[in-house]
Amino acid sequence: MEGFMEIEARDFSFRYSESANAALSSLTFAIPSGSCCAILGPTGAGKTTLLYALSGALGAHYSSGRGTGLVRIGGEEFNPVPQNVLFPRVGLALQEPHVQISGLRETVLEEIQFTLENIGLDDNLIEARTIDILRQLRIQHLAERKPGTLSGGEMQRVALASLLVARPPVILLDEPVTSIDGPGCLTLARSIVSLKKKSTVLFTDTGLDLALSVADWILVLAAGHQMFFGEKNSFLQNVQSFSGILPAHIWQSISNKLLAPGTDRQRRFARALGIR
Amino acid sequence: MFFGPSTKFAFTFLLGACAFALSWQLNIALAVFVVFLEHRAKPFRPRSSQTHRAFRRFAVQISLLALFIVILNSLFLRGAGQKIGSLDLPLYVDGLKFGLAVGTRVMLLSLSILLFFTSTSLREFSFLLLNAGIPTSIVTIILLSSHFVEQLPSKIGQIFSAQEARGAPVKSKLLARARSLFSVLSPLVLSSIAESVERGTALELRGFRGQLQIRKSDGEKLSFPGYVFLLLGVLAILWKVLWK
Repeated sequence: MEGFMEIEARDFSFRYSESANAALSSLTFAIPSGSCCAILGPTGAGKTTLLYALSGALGAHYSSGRGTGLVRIGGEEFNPVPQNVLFPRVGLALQEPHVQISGLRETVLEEIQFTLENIGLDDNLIEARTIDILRQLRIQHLAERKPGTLSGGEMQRVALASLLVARPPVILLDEPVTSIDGPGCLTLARSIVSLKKKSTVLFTDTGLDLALSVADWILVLAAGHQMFFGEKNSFLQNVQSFSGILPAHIWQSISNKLLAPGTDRQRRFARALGIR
Repeated sequence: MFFGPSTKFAFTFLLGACAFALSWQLNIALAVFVVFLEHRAKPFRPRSSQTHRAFRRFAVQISLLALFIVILNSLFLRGAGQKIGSLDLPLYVDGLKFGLAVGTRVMLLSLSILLFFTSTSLREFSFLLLNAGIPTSIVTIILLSSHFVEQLPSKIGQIFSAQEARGAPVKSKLLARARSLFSVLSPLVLSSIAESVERGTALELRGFRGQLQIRKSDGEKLSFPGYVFLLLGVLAILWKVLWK
């Protein structure tokens, strides 16, 4: 399953049955195929709910919730959300990688192959793709390890590999940097850049680092409301005008990273933005 | 594969049947043979050194348990009331015989089952069950449960540490620890329920629809020795039931 798919939401809202307030409220955005969008916002902003909605897990498991509006993935319209998990068209990596490890397989290699077995690929293709993804994410050395013995960062990469091996045209990553250290973040950023050549990537984050390095589009959510959607450049150019509407932590992060003079990188960013 | 999982399973069945059918002397001999197989025979070698150590530890523990069963029966099972030898100890012959039969039976049975599981991977075991016609849903439940059990010690450890940090008397006297058990068990149960829901979603998100797919490389038919082991096992049980 390869090829590009664009993602669009029009006036999309969702409310869980047990909640009085909408988890997502009137979201409208369109992410072109083959690009990368960072969904930013504080905890409880609705980032994970949005990813669940796009993957189909929300419709499949929270059918009692109420959704309105329109979601379009790769030209196919869902009104309001897909009612079945869209894998392998859409792949979602969960925030907690240890949950994504099936426990049905003995080694990392078998764990990754499990995804392809579910799709029903033949043995040769399974072998080839597994080796390819192990190389791509630089985790060949983990192949024979037991998934349960991996560290947080290693498990995150294995969970990612077990998703990416299916080559979904749309990749959703829920806070992918949570348990990854600095070098791991760099590897992940490189992986996302290479993924953009084949897929449309959406990821959530509470910080800005990854978004500024790899995202083409930025969607900012706060308490389920869309605070901003646009290209990264437009986000950066108008960053000061968002100070009133952006969630405090994002604004704080921007101030720390971009506006305050300090490290070379901050100065470089500030120069790029025309800020002293 | 000459001695694949299904042949090993048939061999385990034969050992289990022998444990019920044969005398205690032969059971002891077979138990020693099982320990030898674990150490020397390639198909029965444990999958890691940790598993090897656990097997050794278990072999010692089960031997002690068998000895305990023998002593207990010798002491309390009088039978005809005949005492052992000329000693004035209250040890009875009938109790000793019964204890030896039960103790060695338990020992051989436990060791042979452990021999199978220490040398068979989870994947091999799951496909063995599927090939045997066990429904996928049941195999999946078994595998997920085994994964959960595997993670249980570390989870309990985490909860213990968390509760200890909050002042729960998890390392004090037995009674206080028993009282704090609820504070350990309730988060364990609740987190397990929440995690099982998430795990189900995660499996679905990887295309799992409750059907474990069998690949060509997973298929393994019972070899000729496997059939021989099964037949001998059945004959041993029949002999025990019909002729003894």
